Amino acid sequence: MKVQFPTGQTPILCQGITTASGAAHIERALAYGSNIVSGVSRDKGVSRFMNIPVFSTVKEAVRKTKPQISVIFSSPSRVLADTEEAIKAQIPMVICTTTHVPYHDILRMRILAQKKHVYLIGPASPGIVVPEQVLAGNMPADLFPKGTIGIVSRSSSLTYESVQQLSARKLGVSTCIGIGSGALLGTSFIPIVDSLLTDTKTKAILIIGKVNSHFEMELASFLSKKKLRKPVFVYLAGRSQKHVSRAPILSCDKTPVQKDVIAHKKKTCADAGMILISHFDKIGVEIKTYLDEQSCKLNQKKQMEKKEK
Amino acid sequence: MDIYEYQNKRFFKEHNLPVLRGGIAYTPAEVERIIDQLPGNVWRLKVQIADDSREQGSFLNHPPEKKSGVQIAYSKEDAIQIAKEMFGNAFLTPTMRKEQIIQRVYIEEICAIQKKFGVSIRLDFAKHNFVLTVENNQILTEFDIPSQKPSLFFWYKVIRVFNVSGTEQAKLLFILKQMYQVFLEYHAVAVEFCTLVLTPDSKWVIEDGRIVFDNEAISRFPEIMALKEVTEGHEREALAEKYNFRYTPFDGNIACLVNGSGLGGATIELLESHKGRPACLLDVGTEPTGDSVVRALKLALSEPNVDGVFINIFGGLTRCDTIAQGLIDASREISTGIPMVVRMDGTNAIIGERLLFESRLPFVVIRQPEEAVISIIKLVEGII
Repeated sequence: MKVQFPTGQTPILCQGITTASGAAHIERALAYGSNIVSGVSRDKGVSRFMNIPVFSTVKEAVRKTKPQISVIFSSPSRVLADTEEAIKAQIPMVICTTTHVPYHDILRMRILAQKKHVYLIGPASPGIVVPEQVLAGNMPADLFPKGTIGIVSRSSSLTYESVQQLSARKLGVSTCIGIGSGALLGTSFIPIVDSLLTDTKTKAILIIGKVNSHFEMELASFLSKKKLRKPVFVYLAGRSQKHVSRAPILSCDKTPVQKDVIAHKKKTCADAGMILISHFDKIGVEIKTYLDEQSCKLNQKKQMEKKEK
Repeated sequence: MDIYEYQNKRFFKEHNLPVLRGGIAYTPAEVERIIDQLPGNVWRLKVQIADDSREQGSFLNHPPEKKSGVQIAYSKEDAIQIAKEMFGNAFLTPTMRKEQIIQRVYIEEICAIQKKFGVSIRLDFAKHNFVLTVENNQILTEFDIPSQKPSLFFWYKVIRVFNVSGTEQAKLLFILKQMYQVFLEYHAVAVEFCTLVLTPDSKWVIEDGRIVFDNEAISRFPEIMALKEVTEGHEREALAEKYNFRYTPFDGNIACLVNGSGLGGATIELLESHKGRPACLLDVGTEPTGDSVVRALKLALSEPNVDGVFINIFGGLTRCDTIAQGLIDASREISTGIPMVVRMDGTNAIIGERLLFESRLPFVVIRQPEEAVISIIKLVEGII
């Protein structure tokens, strides 16, 4: 099943709309033009907020407004219940922006989402931006120019950094999804990258990964079986293992620690056909150079063909 | 979060898991009192530190023949002598950054061993599942724990690996179930019995074990929060946590202040690729407040081994001018004169840069990251 990327018309529900962060980000989403159709709040007696109908349960919001996406801005203590409620209501995509969610809770959400065939993005996801159409989450959407590069990222700071570098070189973004930075996530890179590969608006893909997880390796083994028709760029943040904050622990079995995790990861990604970006400040320039060279070659080929005719 | 061995054992005991009898001492006199209450005439003395490799550790000020952080005493006098040498002594293992002064020693009875096993229940991040591993005779057997309540059939499949007799199996079943219960109840990342012993008289005892808590879950359990204490050498991490930013120590001389963990990793990588040596990484989060920037920079400037600060900020929703003002406020409060290079980009970057220029403080502002990194390295080396 492919991931459906939102458009300006996609109806969006916001859970936790009356929380401080929910209100702030939804106000920006509305200003951006997102089609926010309803909200859910646990505060009693709120039926409208920023001119949006507010319900007390997701079920009711789904029945009356038929959202295709739910964005969750709940506190860590409520996020499990709220996310489960959205998944049970079978909203096709649930974006959880809450950070500091315990692992056991994430696992429960993930298992339920898989059972109900729901794409759970996050937790700790900065959301989705489709430039000039949708903002669902907490990204600074004004930085994102419209274009043809699809971004899937595990680091929000580096996403904004790379978007800035791309836009300085007149390159823009088709769809950008932050899948969250944790070691445990609802949705990994694979289904999103798979959908971007067939997305007509996307001509190239940028992956921003980290050292502290298996997601990049899974993606590499997935892509190695595919014939890539679009360039897939990858930047892996970090070299030293030291800043892996919540790394998986070793148990009493003394599994040898991979000494140079990042070098191994980079090699696996390159072997799978991905194009490695050397440093974070080179994301823009290296993508631009590659794409220019590619279009140059394409032009030459076309001219050759013309001459032959 | 990790807790000390004696806290782990107390925790297991409170949850009806069998551990050896022992006690925690803060002075040699307490060692004597504890030994009087323990059975037998041989005991183990273990230094309590926040590190796993104490067997390989050594005392910095100690007779060379008695090195390890775990020692056996064959009499009460012997125990007191060992304790006297342990307390107040500086101890260092190969994996510790800085030596630690020993303040706590755990004294434990010793049990006879018929068989030895290792058991762990942990969250497997690659499999997205709970996994139970048994180690018997250096052979590891792994079981995926079903997400529904595991059946008796599952437990017996696990127990079969131990290859023990009927009555021993029944006791083992209780221990394993209880272990899983503790793992679930406390939302743990792992519960591990590194050495689970079967004694000659058919008793099970956890000789060495630990529970690894999930930092994001412990706030739900006041009894675990109460165990949380600032371990020696980790004061800065604790301070950072209090003020809502993250501190990671390195052993160089350039402090790096960034917003966002991905940008942090990328910054360290860029610095190291130009042979710069980071002293620490201060991550104020993707959308910091001016206040957390002030506190983080003050922490960086107060470190004795820091010769320069590299600030790498990308303004998203938090604007660069807010961050610049935070940097200015902090360095007005602590004026050390050490070089500071600021690279900022994103929302209101130009306004932020102008603020820094006009502050007349020792900020060098460079927009291009690589140039900025080269500049801080040269400034620290005193080349410019």
